[in-house]
Amino acid sequence: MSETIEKQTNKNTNKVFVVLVFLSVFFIVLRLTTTVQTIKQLAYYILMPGLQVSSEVFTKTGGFIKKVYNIVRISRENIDLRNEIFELNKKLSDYQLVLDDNLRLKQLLKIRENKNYESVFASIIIREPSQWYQWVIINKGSSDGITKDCPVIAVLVNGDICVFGRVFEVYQNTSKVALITNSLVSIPVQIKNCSVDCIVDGFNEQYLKLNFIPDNLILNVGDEIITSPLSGVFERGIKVGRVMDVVKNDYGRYQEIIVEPYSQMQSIYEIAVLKND
Amino acid sequence: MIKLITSIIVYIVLIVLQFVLPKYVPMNLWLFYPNFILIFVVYIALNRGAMRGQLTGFFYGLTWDILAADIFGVRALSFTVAGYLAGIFNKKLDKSQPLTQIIVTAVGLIVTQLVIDFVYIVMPLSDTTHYISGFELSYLALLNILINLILAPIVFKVFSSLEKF
Repeated sequence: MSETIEKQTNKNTNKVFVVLVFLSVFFIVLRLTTTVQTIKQLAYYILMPGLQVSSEVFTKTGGFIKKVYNIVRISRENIDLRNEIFELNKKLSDYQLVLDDNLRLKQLLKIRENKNYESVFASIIIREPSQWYQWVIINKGSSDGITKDCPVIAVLVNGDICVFGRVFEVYQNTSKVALITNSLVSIPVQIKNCSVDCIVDGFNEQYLKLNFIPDNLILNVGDEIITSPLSGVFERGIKVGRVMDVVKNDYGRYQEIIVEPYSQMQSIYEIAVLKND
Repeated sequence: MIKLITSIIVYIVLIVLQFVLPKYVPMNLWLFYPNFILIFVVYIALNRGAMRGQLTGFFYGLTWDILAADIFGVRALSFTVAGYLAGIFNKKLDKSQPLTQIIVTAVGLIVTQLVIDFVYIVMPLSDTTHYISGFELSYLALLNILINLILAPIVFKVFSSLEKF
C-alpha cells in the first residue's frame, strides 16, 4: 500500500518537474517577447517595494556591520576609555564617510553637461555577490526621465569620468543597470593612440575583451581605450579602460585584447545616468 | 495560515540576505559570502523531498531572474533541477550528517553551474562574446564554492533551529 502511494508521489513529482522545466525553458526561449516581459515587469513591481524598504532600513540604521566590528574592537581596550574611544571613533568614521561622500559628489558634479545629455545622479541600492560584474539596481527610474539604454557613467578618483554600463530595464522609481562587464553589453570603442575602432565585450568577469583586432596592429599594455564616435549610446572619448594583455590567436589573423575597465565596480556607490534631452 | 506567513517571512529574509545585505558587508569579505538561496533550496529538498525542493528552487530562481540582468529563466531552471536532484537523496541519506549536507550542496552548486553554462552555450548572447564558464574562473571562484560548502552545514543548522523554533 505504502509502495503504491510512494510510486504515485514520485510520478507526481516527476510531472511537476517536467512542468517547471517547461515553464523555465518557456521563459528562456521567449524572454524577449512582450508576454514574458510583462510577467517579469509585473513581478518586479510586486517585489521591488519590499526590497527598497529593506534597503532603506539598512541605510538608515547605518553601517550595521561596521558598527558591530567597531564594538568588538573597542571592547578589548581599557574599560575606562571605552566609551570615549568609541564615541571618537564613531565621530571620526562618520566624518570620514561625510568627507568621502562629499568628495565623490563633488566629482560627480564635475561631469560636464553635454548639449545632448542631461545627467541624473543615482545611488546603487542593490547588488548581488555572485553576479558582481553583471548588474546593479539604482534608485532612479522612469519618473526621473530615465529610459532604456541610457548610458551610465561613473567618476574616477582623479575626477575623470568613465563608462559604467547602460540602463537595461526601467521601472517607475528604480532601474536595472547592466554593467560594462556584463556579457549582454558590447560597446564600440577606439584605441586612443592608433584611432582604431572596434567592439569591447563584457564576459561577466572583471575584465573586458576586444575581439577581431588585426594581427598586424601593434598594441602595448597600458594603451588607453575610449568610446568611439561610432557609438550611438555614449559620447565619444569617454574612458573605458586600458590594455592589460595581448593574446595572439593561433590561426594568426586576429589577436585578442584583454582590457581592464577604469570603473572599479567595488568602490562605486553613486553613478550618473545620461538621459537625452 | 501560520505556514504561509512563515514562508513569506523566510522569503523576505532570504531575499534581503542575498541581495540587500551584501551592500553593507566589507568588500574583503565578499568572497566569503554564501549563496543562501541555493543552500536553502538544497536544505528544503533534502528535508522535504524532491517536490518541495523543485518548487522552492523554481520560485526562488524566478525571483533571482526578476532582479538580475541575465538570461531570464536561467536561474529558475537551474535551481529547479538542483532542488529536484537534491530531493532524490531525501530518504536515501542521513540528512543530519554535515558530510551529507556538504556533498548534496556540492551537487547543487555543480548542477546549477552546469545548467547555467548549458543555457549560455545553447543560447549565446552574441557572435563575438565567448561565454566564460563558472568552472573556468579563477581560484578565487573555486575558493568561494569551497566556502559555500564549508558554510553549508552551519546554514543548515541555523535553518533547522529556526524551523524547530
